[in-house]
Amino acid sequence: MKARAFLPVLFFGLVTVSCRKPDEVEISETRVLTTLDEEPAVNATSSEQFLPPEVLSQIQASGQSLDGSEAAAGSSAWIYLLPAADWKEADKAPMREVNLTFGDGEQAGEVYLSVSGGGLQPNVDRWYRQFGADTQPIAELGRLEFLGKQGYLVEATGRYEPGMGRPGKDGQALLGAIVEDQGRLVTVKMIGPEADVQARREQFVKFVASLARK
Amino acid sequence: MENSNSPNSRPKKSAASNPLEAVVKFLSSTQLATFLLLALFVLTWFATLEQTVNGLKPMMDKYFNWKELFFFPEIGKPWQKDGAMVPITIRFPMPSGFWLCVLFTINLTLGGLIRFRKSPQKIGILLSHFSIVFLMVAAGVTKFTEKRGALQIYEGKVSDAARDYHAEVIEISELADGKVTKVHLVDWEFLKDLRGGGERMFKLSNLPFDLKVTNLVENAQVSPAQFVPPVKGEKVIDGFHLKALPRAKETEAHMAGVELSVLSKGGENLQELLLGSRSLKPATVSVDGRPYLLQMRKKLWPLPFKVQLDDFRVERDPGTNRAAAYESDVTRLDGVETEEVLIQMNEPMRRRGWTFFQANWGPQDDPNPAEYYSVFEVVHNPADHWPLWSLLISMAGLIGHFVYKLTLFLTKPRKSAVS
Repeated sequence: MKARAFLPVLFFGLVTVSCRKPDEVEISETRVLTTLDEEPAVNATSSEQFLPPEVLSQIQASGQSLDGSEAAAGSSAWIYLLPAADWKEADKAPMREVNLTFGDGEQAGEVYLSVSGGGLQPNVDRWYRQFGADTQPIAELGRLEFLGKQGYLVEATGRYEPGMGRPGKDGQALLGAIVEDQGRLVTVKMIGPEADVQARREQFVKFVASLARK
Repeated sequence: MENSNSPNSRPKKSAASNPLEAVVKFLSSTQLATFLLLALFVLTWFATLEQTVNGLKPMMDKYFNWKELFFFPEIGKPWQKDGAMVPITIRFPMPSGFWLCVLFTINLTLGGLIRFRKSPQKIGILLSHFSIVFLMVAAGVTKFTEKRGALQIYEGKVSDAARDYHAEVIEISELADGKVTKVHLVDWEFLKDLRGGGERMFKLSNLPFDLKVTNLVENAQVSPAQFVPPVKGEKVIDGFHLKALPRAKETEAHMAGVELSVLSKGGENLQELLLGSRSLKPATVSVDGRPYLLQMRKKLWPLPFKVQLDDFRVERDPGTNRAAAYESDVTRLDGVETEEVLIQMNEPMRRRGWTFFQANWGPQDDPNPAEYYSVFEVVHNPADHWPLWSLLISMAGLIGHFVYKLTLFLTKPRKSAVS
């Protein structure tokens, strides 16, 4: 028999389709216990399962709950001045005690104030990470007036990845202010298109300086 | 491989009348070897192109899938704006690389070893053929038996489990007095084809309930619906939903998520849950008054001993945060036996078939962290050193053969240049 006589056999062999997996499977596989099975976290809520502790604490600090209701009254009492005509109040949002927008269309951005726990450096590190940037030690950050103290100014540009499944965006910039007040961290973040954020730097500083508790 | 040295002097009548011999002759033929080598060359070319579109691991799974005999390659559409990778499917069935390699191994074994005319002068060539067959067998053993994962430990902590880079599992843990007593597994083999909305029932033979997975997202984030509203009609369970994240080329970064139902043995829906590999804690369900933990995670490879990270050191390039070198002092705890070992780049720790390579560390964005963690790539592969042995055998064979030929050439009587 000639060798090439086997080629059709080979060809038809190649177009054979493999078996499909069944709709029902019996599971009996187990694995040995490891150190990772020690101290199991039992009865965790959905929030504890899926949200990092710092995010959970921010939700609690902002008086919001995950179903959208306001959990505690009087937690978002701030006085401030809007530094430009196109700064507008936005709808309430979880974890934001003050929620503003500026600009329109492609030039639109947001400014919001949050109160949270955690340390200064971890928060600053997270902000830089959201922009894929190398973090900066707190001591090397710029300073600005914030709640009558010298707060820290964080600046980053690039692709902004807000996390928690929200889509990223290129060409963004951050101006962030952070200060410790009454045992909590108060933060103000301005995020928007890079050119617009940089053009509004003075507005941002004015806004932060105007902030006060009621 | 059959060549001029093969026994083609046998009577033609015998080969034609004996089908078995005809099959053997075909499988050992030079023509088949040529076809296979050409096919493997083309396959390698497409694989290189497809790797740039779909990433290394998905490409390897597709090109060397032993359960499929053919596949359709995908390559990047050329001349895209900004170099964007848009995959296009080549509508030409390509034979599975796995089966090509199997055929090539059979071809080389029959033609290059068994049917090859043997003589003392051919020992070098025989050794070289054997080394290639050995190399192919090593690749096969690696494909089916290798365990590979990452082990991350903080300083002062102990671990005895590595996490697979790719495979995800659903674990169901039985509890007694707040301690895990047994862990049942739904393996990735039964999950991976549910991507994109497939569903499957998992009958848990030793537990009082079953699971029904109704959706699997290969790279998912379980997101709070209030902050990240569902946009594609994703099911919201307890305020959360499964949000699909963009597909990454480095599929190690993928963390899967599933929607599932806990069913009684009678088929009654007891509870709906979301599980995600990114989750920080497992879900707890209570069936017949007993609690069980459910979680999705990268598959664990339990190790036969424990490893404690005593100290981690990193040297940075001057003036930068970039690591120039890093190493870990560990203590291996193997029963009553303990041993302190230094693991550094290119100097792994080997023990009982497991190899620990220094692979990564963290946290890398903090110049002075309170505590470091070290990451080891952990590999268990019976054929770990076979490629090295194969190359040594091949080298010995080829050197022997070349020396033999050189000796023949040098000792051959020469005709006088001037006749």
